[in-house]
Amino acid sequence: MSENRDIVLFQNIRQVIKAEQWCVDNSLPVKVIPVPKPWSTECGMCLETTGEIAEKLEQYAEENGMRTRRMHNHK
Amino acid sequence: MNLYFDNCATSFPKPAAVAEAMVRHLNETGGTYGRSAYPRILQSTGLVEECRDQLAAKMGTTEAGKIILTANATTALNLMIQGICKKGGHVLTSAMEHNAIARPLEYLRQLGLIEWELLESATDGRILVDKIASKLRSNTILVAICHMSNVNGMAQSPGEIKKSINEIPLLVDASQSLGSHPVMVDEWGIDFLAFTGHKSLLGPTGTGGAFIRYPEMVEPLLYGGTGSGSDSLSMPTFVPDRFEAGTPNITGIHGLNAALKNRPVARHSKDDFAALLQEVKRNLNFKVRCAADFEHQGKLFSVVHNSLSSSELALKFYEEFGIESRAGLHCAPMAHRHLGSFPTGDCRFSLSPYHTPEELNYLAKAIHDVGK
Repeated sequence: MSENRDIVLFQNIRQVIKAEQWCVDNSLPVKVIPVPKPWSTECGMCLETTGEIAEKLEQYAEENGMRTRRMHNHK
Repeated sequence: MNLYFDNCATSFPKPAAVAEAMVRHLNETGGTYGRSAYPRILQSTGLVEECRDQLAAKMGTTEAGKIILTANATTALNLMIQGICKKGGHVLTSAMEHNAIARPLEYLRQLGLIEWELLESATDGRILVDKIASKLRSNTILVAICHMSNVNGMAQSPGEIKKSINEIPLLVDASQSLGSHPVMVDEWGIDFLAFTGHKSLLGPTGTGGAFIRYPEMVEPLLYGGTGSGSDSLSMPTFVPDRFEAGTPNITGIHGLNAALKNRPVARHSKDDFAALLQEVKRNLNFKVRCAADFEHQGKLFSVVHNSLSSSELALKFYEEFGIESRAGLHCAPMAHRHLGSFPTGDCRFSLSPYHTPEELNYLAKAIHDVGK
């Protein structure tokens, strides 16, 4: 799970934990990774996943009042 | 036999799962809160967030992210009182306050920043809700009250109080009530709430926190690293990060989480406690400090003997009956002034859900024998 993946950044740790749990509960594969270097100003962890799941994550975040940023992770 | 009747100071015993969770974190799992992304941290951090969710359910709010974890209720109260009160403000509080509210208010008054005054109360300390409006001023910025007195166990009605102050923020200190008495933050319209983990919630010392409905109204008390917005030298504006600088008490929070998930079923009933109070009230050598109405009574009460001091009483209860109680002012001098027991204080008994009816009967008999 590393080539051409999307990265979803959250405002804080709690939001990452809640979003990751939501993915687990909904059988959506995501990986918790350290925030990549170009975007390392937010919390220490973020979610890496496919573009399709990243979209669902953004929708979940919006519905729950979370602020996210989404990046394409070229490795 | 469990003769520890000082659960208002700190609860004992705790559910076995509390120590197990804390030892597990210290000896097996480890891991800090956030900061990186390997599985050990995910597990440790996930349990902290689970605790926040458990606390939200316990206090009746859907906004778990606005719960700030602190070292104790005193830290939470200082955060909110010092963070809300601006120069020229007027604060209303109750006659039954613990020093955790009274001293921060008095500190700010001595600095010349605020004025504070007491709301009118009944003889047991219940705020006279219909008299609140007459105390409100155009510069009243906060009403700060304890939910349950740590002296006589009387519980206020925060929902009624909030209705009478409309948009003025209500801060409630739930140190004695959360865990043993209903608390409904959202339904009652509570704006700010402080709680401790080691009393009625049966968690370890060093845990507690605040619910802050309006983070923008509160200046942080502590400044430092949060693992978020780290490129800025200013604290984040979002919660809980804004008020959680520094590594939290992760081991303690895991213990508190375990306490919340493993709360014991009370071994005595409300009727057992009512019977104990009735029995104690029959002794004419004691004045019993409790709520005027049992509906507003928490699981604690105090007694004043007509000749023995509170410290003599506590010593007698321990030496002759093995009962551990608390003597003195209980850090609530204003409450004792209101109840007429200042400066000598009283002798307080506070219950645990682990107490059995037999243990309550033993306490009743001990009080009866001491009062002869």
